[in-house]
Amino acid sequence: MRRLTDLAMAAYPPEWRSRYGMELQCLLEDSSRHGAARLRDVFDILRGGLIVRYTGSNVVRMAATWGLTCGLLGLLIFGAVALAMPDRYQAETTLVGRVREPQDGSGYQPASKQKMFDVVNRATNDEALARLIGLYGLYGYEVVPDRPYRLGQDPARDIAVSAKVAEFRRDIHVAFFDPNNDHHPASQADGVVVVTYRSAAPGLVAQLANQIASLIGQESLKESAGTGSFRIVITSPARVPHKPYRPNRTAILLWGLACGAFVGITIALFRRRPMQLAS
Amino acid sequence: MRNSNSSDPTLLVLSSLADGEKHGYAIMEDIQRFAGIRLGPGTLYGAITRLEEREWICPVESTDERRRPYRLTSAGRHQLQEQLASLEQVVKTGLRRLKHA
Repeated sequence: MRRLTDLAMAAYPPEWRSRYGMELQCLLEDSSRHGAARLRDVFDILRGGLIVRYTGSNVVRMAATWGLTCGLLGLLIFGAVALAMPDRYQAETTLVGRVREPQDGSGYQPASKQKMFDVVNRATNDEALARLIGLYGLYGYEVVPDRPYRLGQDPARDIAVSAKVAEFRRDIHVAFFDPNNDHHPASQADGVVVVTYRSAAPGLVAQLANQIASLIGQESLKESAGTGSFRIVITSPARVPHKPYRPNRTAILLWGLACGAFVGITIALFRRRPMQLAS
Repeated sequence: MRNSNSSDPTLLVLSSLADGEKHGYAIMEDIQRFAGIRLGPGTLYGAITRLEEREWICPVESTDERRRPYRLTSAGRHQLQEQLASLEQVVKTGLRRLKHA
């Protein structure tokens, strides 16, 4: 029984045990001496310990205080980050690819994903992207509309331009939809390519998405060697976006609040303030 | 005033200490004697903790740290009087109504 009561007493917080532990132990010894120690006392001590631990030390109030404080702090920090983040816009152009049917040459059937993939890869080679960078002065590159730089002219400059091209590629996203396997509203009868371009300038994103799409269209003409057996055409050009797609400031603020509150509650649970005992 | 009933452990402890200082086991025995209720050790010391926090009781200096006695403070005495008066009112009303029923 003694071992059980000792175990049950562990439910009390240490500061409570240092103040009342000896007295409670003595009371249990006295009870035991008079034959009054019972198993239900063990449960009574356990229950008392849990009550003191979770209400006497105001753990709920502490968790609420810490949670709210850290939540607001998180809100401020994440809010500052959200405000510092530049707006990013995106625009997308939809193209469809068709191949003339070989039997009678009159109708078209959807172009395969692989065929369109090859054309898009050729259309968006480093040379073509470097030309666009020079044309629009992207990524801090000087605008040279009349004499766009061609890769291979100057090895040192090639490295700088290649870095800009890599940056440009990160902002371009091309998605392929196959009419047989993928679901896209426009891919019921045709193979579809969606070109998305992302940038901080809302006017520029639409222009560049359309320019890239135009390069793909021109490449498809080269592919068919002017016979018209294969073509990729723009069906839905990019429009200037009205609002940025990123950052989602509301979501960032909510994350800040949630993360802060979580950290605060964790701190409150692990660093419980010692009980304010009367003496 | 805080609502209380006759089996409220804090009221029982206050009542037990009304006639003088007692340590934990003596309070438990006393309550069993006058109220027929055996407070468990956890319940008793939970009540003692709360009463001490509210400064309604206070420990008395003792040579035996393990059997530290407690006594009522003046605030505790006042509180006990209020609670008992309230209970008395309930008891009187109940008895009077039973008589007329």
